[in-house]
Amino acid sequence: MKNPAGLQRDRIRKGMAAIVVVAFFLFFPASCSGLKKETDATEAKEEIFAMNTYMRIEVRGREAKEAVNAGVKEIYRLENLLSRSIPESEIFAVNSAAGEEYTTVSAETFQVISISLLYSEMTDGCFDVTVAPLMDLWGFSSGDYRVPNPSEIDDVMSSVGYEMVRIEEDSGRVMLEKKGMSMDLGAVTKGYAGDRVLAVIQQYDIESALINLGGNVTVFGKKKTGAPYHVAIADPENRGEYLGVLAAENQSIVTSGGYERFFESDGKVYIHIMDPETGRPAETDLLSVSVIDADGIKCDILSTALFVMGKDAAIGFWRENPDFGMILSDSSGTLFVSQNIKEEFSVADGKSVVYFE
Amino acid sequence: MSSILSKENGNDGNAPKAVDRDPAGAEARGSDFSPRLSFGVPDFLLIIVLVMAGLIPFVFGTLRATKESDFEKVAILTVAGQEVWRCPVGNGSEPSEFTYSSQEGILIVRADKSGAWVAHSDCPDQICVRTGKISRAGQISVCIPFRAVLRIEATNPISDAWIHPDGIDAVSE
Repeated sequence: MKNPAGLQRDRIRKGMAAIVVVAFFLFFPASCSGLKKETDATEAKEEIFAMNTYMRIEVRGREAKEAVNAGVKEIYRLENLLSRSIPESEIFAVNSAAGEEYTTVSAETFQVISISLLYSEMTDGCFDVTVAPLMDLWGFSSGDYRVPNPSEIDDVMSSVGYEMVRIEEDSGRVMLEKKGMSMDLGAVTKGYAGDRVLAVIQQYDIESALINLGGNVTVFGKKKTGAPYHVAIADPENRGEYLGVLAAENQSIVTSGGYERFFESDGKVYIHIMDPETGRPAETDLLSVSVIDADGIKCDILSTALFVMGKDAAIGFWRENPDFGMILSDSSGTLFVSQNIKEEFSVADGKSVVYFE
Repeated sequence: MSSILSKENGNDGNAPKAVDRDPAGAEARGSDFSPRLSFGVPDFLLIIVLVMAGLIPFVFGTLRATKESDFEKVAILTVAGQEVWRCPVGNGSEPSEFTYSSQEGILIVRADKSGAWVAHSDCPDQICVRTGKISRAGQISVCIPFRAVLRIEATNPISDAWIHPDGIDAVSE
């Protein structure tokens, strides 16, 4: 028999031991549950070279691998449909029949062309899919860069103009009015591909995705930590740095600028973005334009068009159509950021910024 | 130091002090010599110390991940999706150079403690060379003709403190 004090002491000891045991089983499963959560959702990624650029798809979710495979397949399908350099593509067929006859295209190709023409009108021709002959003339298609003389530019300009693209909605037919005309959907296709890849992978059981098609970034959902994806905007003046970082969710972010593809001749820089009005590489007070929206094709087209417009016209366009996010970087190094993304966009240290609305 | 589980009986000179301070307990033991396990305050403290010691790697691991200077990075060169070269980047890393040869010509990449870059490429457009030095996790320098991608990756999981300059997932360019 134990006396009451001994019994009480034993009870205290057992109580303390119980606390230790309970605490152990409380903390240990808690720390493990986090690990389990990470391993529940599988991750898959794939890198490919397509559409003349580098692409990477990362997906997290139970069917991540299947989704990535389907996404890659979709990219190749679109390249074969919309490339102007693949002889089997529908765009190749339309270009080959320029000035001669209509070409019947798929509903999808027809839709991409129609959207492109719509934005050409909206932007007063700053975006134009018929600048392909100019790209050839300046050597941007082949890599054999050269500065053509003015008469050569004038000759080619007669074959440039979105107004000369005829489309028949009822029959799904497309025709370029003049011989020598040519369409290049290069400034549309990656944006459209981002939308399509997202649509395809969403048919699978996935939780989040990061689609990077040559710098055109589309994000879906949040990271496994619950944080949004963080997409940096490249600094056109210092490629190792950023203009800032955007916390993005279910959005596309597309940046256009002349800092990546260009050539120099007699001390002058010629960038790869053509001004359809002058027939020459765009000369603008902007270094880069980033457009943020849920619609990837819109981001792709507008980033090019607004770059060609220049700063004041781009801000004016945004004020008339303020349903997307816009980041401009001008030649003085100042950022102009639309007010509607102020919360999501963190400007890099040392950058001067003006918010507009 | 006492053992976690010590055998208590009257002949045990190392009986826990708590027992020695308790005459009632000693009397009780005098009438009951059957061996039994006891659990003293020192044992409890030892368990606490051991548990806390076990948590140290987790606690310091978490703190480390939030310190920018402690991010260790690596430069990785892949060609057509296959890794062909890897080099640590950061404080204390040695300068390194790698030459890749193919039918396109040669591609030379270099790395030092501050980053990695394509030093030379026989490609026509030179976009990879113009990209210059990359230093932040997530940055890439791409050479399309060589199908080469030079990438900086954090070797530790990237902090999700999104204002952290290394905590990016992609670059829009």
